[in-house]
Amino acid sequence: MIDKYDVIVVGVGGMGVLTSAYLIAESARFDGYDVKIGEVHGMAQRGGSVIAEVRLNKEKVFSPTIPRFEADLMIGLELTEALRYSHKLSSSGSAVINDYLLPPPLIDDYPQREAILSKLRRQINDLRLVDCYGIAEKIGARFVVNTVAVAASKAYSFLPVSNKSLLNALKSIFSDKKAKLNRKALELTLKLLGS
Amino acid sequence: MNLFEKIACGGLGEKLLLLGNEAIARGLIEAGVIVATTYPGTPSSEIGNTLAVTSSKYGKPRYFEFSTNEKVAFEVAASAAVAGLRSCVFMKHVGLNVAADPLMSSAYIGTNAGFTVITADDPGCWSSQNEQDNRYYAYLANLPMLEPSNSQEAKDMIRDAFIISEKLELPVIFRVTTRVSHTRGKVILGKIETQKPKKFVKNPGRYVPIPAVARKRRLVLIDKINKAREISEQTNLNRVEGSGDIGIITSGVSYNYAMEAIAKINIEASILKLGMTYPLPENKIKNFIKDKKQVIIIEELEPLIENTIRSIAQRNNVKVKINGKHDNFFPLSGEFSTDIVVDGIKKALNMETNKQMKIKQAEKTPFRPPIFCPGCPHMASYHIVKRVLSPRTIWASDIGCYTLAINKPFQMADILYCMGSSIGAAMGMSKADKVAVAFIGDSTFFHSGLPELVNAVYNKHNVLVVVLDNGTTAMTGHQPHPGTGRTGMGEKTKVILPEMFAEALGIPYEVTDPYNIALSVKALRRLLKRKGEGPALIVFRRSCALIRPVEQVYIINDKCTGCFACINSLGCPALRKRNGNAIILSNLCRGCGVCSQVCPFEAIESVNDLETEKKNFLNFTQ
Repeated sequence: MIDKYDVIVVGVGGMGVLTSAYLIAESARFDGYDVKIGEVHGMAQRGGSVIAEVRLNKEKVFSPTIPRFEADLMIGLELTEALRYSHKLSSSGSAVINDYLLPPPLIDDYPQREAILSKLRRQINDLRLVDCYGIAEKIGARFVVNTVAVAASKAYSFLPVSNKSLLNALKSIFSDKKAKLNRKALELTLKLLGS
Repeated sequence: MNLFEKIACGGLGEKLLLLGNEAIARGLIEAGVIVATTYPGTPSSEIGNTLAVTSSKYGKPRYFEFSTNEKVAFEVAASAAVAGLRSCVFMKHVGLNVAADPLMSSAYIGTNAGFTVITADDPGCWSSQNEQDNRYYAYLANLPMLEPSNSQEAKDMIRDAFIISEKLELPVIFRVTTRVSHTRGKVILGKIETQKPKKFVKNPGRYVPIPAVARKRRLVLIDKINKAREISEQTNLNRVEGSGDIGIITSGVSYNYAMEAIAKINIEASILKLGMTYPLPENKIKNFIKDKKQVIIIEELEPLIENTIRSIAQRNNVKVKINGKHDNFFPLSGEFSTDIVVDGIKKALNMETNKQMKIKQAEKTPFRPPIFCPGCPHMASYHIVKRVLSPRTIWASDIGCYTLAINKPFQMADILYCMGSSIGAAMGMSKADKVAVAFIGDSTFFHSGLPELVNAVYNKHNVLVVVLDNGTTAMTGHQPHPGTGRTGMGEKTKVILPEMFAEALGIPYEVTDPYNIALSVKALRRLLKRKGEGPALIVFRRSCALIRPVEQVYIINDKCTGCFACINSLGCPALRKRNGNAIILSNLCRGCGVCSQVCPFEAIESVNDLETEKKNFLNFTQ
């Protein structure tokens, strides 16, 4: 058990940012951490930019938000959003980013994949780009993309939670049918990306 | 067991990860609340969403309703409490403005069984038109106020609120902020109590505040608030933590930032954590500040605690340095963070504020504001109105998803005050010889549009009222309303439609489906022809795209010329530009077909097989 670990999960409204954050926090709670998730609701969710902050502490978490430049891990479900929030990472921070670009609508000169990636590589100490939709499609359910991203961050040994707790958390937060698909997503991702 | 079931039925000692709002819902259930009412509003919405399920499925609380507005909700809950049932009303901060009238009288009348008024404030305006500080209402009405700092306290302090309310026979204000309501944290469940109804005895000399009664009740209220001050002195909700000759006084979510900040700066400090913030415990504060070297007050928004503490120091002749917002050490606007509180404490203590700490700059990224969802019927409705009416028209907007028409490509929002204000604003604009249109959603229409429409008829205001009826309260999470035929507890009820009022008031009206552009344009033109002096009303009726199953998707065929009429007139997020042509992101398309109607070249067609949906999933990395 480490002293503390701060995660930001970012993406576009509707992709499952809040659920990912919940999954991480619930697993960490099962592992004995105190946890808090700072969420953004309402207007911010209508296809807008969404960030959730998950804080793990073996003693007690006070603030629901992470102090600036102190996040240990960023899980980015979309490239533009990953770029938007990348400065929140600490200088030794890591990132697991879904290789998926959905530019905001009605904008013609949005940053392209390569430009985003080169900026992210400059900023982030350890960046892992993952085709999360590719893995989700193997399950046959594109909506599990968020669980794939969380699982990837575990497969790369960033997320300090146990596989057992991740599985229990899936059972705790999803209905039976969805839990099954998400479990498949978790297991397949761990198998494909795990060392 | 799903989360709602755990909230309703979870036993003593069970641990859950709950949003502040879910914890409040559990707190209400534990306190044995019998009647709970609300009008949905973020950041309070999840309290109602939770109770809607727990009341209908598990009978906890026994009665819950989504009222038509906060004033109604307040009166229902307050009177149920007078009648002897533990009751609660909850709303977002601006909702309490709507309910302010009965709130003020309820302080005079008092309560019989416990009555708690929950207000969810929104520092930082995450989902609101202002960041007013509703702690003022406790001062204004002379009502006790409690403020939790996290989910556990949000649950536990609900019980305290009811105990205080019953002891004083006064409503208690329970104030949370967005970061308490929308933070998920550990909660250990308590015991679910059952409350026996209290007896109600008729007493017009108390419950009917005609002037003669009100004058007496004012004195009773002053006496009660003095008793509340004694509770504030005694209660462990106001307590000292830690030690040191620097004193920090804080409450609510700011307590968390203060705790993290003192650990970060590594100073010895004594914290006075205030859970009961009105009335403040004068003696406790006096004793806390008198032996301190310096006192720093950490509170979001207005310097309310600070003002009181400065007054306490002055009246008790305590000479101590007090710092807070009056020294500009802490900002008046926006929500706090650990960083802001660290900076404020350092300034107050004359410490160096970071030896030029390297500030990482955010990368430049295109803004991604909230937008209309793919297939949202509001896009079609705005397109139709824009097509028929002159661009010089004044567009009076209202509160709901449709306020997003302020953005491109519509830019059809010129004025907005609050819930239901669109019709009033259009009336005022029309007095200045402007052609004015009011856009109002179905739930907002029932909330406070009705008296405005009556005024438009009565005073012969020449306005067009556009009701955007998507059959739900979409913005706050799809709560039912009088037009849905369903109550907050899931029971069937009479369907009340906006056009019924147009019919009753004898004004011209039309009802149309915005997904059919041609017919809707005709309906609007027909209405404008029939419209004389006074108002006319058109209802655009089509259910919210998020609660309708997708039966088909649309694709762009090779007739596309790249004119982008579809994108420029609708701005649907499923429509994008790609290699000089328009494309439809089939993973976003909800199959409404509106874009196929605005395409001049018949280049948009529907496909029924879901395989296409899979094939046309588009990632802009390729």
